[in-house]
Amino acid sequence: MPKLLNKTHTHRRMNKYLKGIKNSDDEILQEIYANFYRPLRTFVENNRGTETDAKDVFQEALIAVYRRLRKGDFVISATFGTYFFSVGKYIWLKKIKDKMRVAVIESEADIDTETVEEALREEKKYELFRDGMTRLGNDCRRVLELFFARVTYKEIAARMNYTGEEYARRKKYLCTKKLMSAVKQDERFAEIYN
Amino acid sequence: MKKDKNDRLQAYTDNEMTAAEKAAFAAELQADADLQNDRRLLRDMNRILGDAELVAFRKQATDLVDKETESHRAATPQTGKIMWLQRLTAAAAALILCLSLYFLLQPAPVDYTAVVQEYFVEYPRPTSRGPADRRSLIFDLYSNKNYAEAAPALEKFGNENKDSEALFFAGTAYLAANDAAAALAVLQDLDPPPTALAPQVFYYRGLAYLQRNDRENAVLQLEKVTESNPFLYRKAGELLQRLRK
Repeated sequence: MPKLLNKTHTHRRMNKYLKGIKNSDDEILQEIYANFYRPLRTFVENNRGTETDAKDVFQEALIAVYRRLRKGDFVISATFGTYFFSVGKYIWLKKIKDKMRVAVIESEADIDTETVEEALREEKKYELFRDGMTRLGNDCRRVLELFFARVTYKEIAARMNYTGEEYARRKKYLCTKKLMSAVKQDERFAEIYN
Repeated sequence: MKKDKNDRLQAYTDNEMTAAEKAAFAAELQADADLQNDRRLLRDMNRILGDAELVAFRKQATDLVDKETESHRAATPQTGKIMWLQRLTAAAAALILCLSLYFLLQPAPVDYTAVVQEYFVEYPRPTSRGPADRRSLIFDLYSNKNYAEAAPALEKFGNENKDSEALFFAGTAYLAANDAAAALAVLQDLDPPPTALAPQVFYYRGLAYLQRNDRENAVLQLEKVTESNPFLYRKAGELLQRLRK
């Protein structure tokens, strides 16, 4: 008979990591970094990437797993290390494929590639919007940050020292319009939205 | 004053219209492709920038990587411009001195890739326990030295069947296929390794670290190879001696 993995230990470790990501537990995230960043970095660096690329891939892999966990329970047939490495490997190969327009061998590991692809699409949009926000004036940026944080117009008016709720609403409309315009002028916009 | 199209779009998206305004705008939206694209963009912006939990997690992930990188660089703190120039001059002088000493005194550099190849032992596949099943077919790939195909197949099989032996062979196959990172990822997951495979796991982990030129961790792993596998124990001993020279 093949020797079985120490199921309890493996599951306990897996659950610890998944729970840690789901709860944004700093200590567990540090442990994940300590155990799983280095193999990922080596893989990226051995495949046309830099240390900065490796950091981005590590973050994106963490975010992809976090997004997946928010959708609900899921089963990983691999151990956490293998799963996490596969997610990162898939992300990097996808980036090479997209950026360098070269054919690469896709990861055959047992990961939900659609979820990872979705996370990557969402992250691209996030980066586009985040960079758009940085091109706004301070006032506009602050108003939109408050709006996205679900702060009421009344409260926005109070915090920004505006004359009233209606002015805050007008300001938000104007700033959103500016943000949309900034986003549309970004060269990444066509690639993401067409 | 009539609001412009974008204002109406925002009012519609933010649910700030009366029922009649909403119905009229929905009809307008239906007929205007550009407006539909703007609506999609606006909804994405509200959804993505308004996701406070995810924004916080992203920040935490970024801070984590930055903090860890900083801690690695703590040994070389940045100071003022003058200090920086002094250090640069001193570093240049030290570099010239070191290079001179290097060429004068340094023995030939160790080629760890060659060392790994020399010490890589093709670990014998387990003996067949029955008719040609999926497991033995996968192991045939390994026996035929088709490591590039054998490694992921063994890993998948091992994970699906909780078969630590298959996972161990996946690690050695990745190593033979020169994918040290994947080899390490698989072999590190066998932690703690099953008793019967422990010396083998430590030995091949050591080689995987060495393939990545990580001598320090290679030594740590090789030191754990026990006499329960006399052959690998002897090989690990030889390799350790060589690495410590």
